[in-house]
Amino acid sequence: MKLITMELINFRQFYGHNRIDFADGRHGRNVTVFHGYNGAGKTALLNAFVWCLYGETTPDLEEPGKLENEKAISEAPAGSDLEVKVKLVFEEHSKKYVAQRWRKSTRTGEARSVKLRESELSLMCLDHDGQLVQTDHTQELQQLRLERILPKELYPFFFFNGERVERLARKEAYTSVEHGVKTLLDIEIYERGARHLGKDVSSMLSEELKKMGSNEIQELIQRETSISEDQEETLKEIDEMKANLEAIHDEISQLEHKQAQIANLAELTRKREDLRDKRTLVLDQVQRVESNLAHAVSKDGYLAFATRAFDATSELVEDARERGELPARIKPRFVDDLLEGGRCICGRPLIDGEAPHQHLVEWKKETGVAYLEEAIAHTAADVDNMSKRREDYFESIRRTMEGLEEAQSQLKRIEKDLALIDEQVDEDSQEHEQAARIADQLKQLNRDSVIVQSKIEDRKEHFEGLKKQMAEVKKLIKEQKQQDRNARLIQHQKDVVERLASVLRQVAEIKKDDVRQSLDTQIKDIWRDAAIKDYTASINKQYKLILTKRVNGVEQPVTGASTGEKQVLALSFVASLVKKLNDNYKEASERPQAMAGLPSGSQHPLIMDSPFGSLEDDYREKVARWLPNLANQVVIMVSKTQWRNEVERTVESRIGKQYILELHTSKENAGRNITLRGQPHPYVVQDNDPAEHTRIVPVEREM
Amino acid sequence: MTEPDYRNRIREALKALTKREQMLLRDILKIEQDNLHLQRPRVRHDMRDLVREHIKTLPEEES
Repeated sequence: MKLITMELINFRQFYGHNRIDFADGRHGRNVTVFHGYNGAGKTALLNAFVWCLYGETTPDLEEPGKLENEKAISEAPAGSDLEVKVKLVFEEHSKKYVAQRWRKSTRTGEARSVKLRESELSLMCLDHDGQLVQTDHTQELQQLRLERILPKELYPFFFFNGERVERLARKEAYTSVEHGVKTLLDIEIYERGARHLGKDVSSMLSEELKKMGSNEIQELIQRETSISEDQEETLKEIDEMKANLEAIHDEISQLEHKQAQIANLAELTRKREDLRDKRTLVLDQVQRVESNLAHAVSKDGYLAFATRAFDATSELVEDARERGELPARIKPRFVDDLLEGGRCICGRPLIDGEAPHQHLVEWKKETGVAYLEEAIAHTAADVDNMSKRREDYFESIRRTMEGLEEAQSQLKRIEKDLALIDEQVDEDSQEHEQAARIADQLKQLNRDSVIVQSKIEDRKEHFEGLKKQMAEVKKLIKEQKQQDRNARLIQHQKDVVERLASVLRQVAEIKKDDVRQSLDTQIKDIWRDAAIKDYTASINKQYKLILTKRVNGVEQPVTGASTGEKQVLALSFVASLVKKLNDNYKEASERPQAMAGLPSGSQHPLIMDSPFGSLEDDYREKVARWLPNLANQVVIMVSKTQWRNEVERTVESRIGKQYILELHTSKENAGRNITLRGQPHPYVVQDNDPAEHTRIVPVEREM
Repeated sequence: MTEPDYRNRIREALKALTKREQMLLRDILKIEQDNLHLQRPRVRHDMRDLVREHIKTLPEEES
């Protein structure tokens, strides 16, 4: 931070508008001096910085709530608004900022009384176009940005009252000193990083790991193994049962084979029945043929013996023909038809008892020979026919006899077969019992087969269930493996985080060692240069400032050091701290890459109220000599008594800007001048204004 | 302690980290820097996110 200007409007003693331009360090003149009488506003000026940047005041400011200038209040009409404001223009990392804090109040009717409102902040910066823009959208963020430029808890190292600077050397200050040093020199960043990583982030990762349940995969793998074993066992069972079933089927097959063999008996029986039936049929056939034969013989058997009768008949008929008796002239039937018709062929009626009728009856008697003739004629025809029948008869008998012989031959075969079957059936009959047993066994085996088959189905179903379970488990394992991979990744991240935390702790320790040793060396050097007594100043690991003296060759703590000595010790510390910050700033570019980008700690101005405090002359001169070298910008507020010749002489060549806090008071005989560079300047001005106030008056440097 | 010694010690400590881890460290420190004066509980979540972003693979997966 490089101070450029500050404007105060009605802030504390400073009436109206007051502007300060700070020494910018050109030509080696980096000191801005404010000369002020007691009560002129030296501490108020220090607080103008603090209030502008942080909205608060230092503990040693009296009536910190009263920021508004009393003269301005008294001049403001009742009910009118009044504004107190501090505007600070500064540069940080080559960027120009304008910080303004103001508080509005309303003048009440009562004397010098105002109704206060909340203070407000505005932080602006110059953008690339040279325009002033708000750095952030809210005052809160702007405040945070300011505090990033110079942390609030650290301002006591840079804005301090020299008369109380020894507080930094007090025991109670160790903690804040340590904290301040760590923060300013980036050590805090490493320690916080180590803490956040090693504790918070590592815990988060542990929680994540816990939630992932990394043992689950082991359980799943066990389950997978169990299912696999179950599957194997089930398959084994199925195989065994199949073998069992096969054995049952084999047994069934064997029994059925046996049964089939036994079934031959039935076949024989059936065959026997068939043969018996057939025999019956054949017997029937034989009987029928015999019967037919008998009938034929009884009917036409005579034909076999009728040959002579036929021959005699033929001779008789031939003789009758030869005698002319044959054939007869009138046929008896012809006469009968006439008699029955009652009319003769000549037309006469034939009436019973009348002569024609009687004649014809008589004539009919003569027709008897005709009848015989007819009979002979028939017989002659029959003889021919009978001869034919006789031949047929013989043919029929022959065929019948052949059939009979065939049937009888068949019957004989059947009888023979039956005899054989009966013989076999007799032999197989003893297997009937075995067949029953086999049937029972088969029933049992078939039942067993069904049971085993059912069991196999059951086992198969179980196996299918296991397959499904296995697929599910494998899926879960796959998911779990992915999760496990994530778990291992988180574990890896945790390892990395813990390694980073460890490295950060190491770096913090290295830096602390370095800082402490650097500060210790600096403090020793500065103290050696400033101190009168042969004491040694040092800083221990707890950042405690220690004064020791050598007694009989041994360093002993100094007890009862004076306030001045403590102030010098504290200034030595501040000086060594500022130097270390500057060194860090310069070496920032040489940082390892992992630490690149971190702020360099910046260069801070030192603003000291009464830096010479109650120092003895010797100390004053020595402090005055190294004071300008403490920082790039040094702002000091001094009283006339503190700005003695030796101080002025020593600092003069480094003064860039000089102001008098010109106190205006109505107190009689209060007027005083201050001589600077041999020239008198109004220091306390007596006027008639009842409201005491201060004006900041620049002291022009004579070239 | 001389300055080179101090810087060497830091470099030595950083050797325990891979390049990737050093980059992570750099970003972690930036977060710390940005939040140095804030009491932000979010910091640890931001850091967790950074770790997730930088460390995406297991050591055996890196070739």
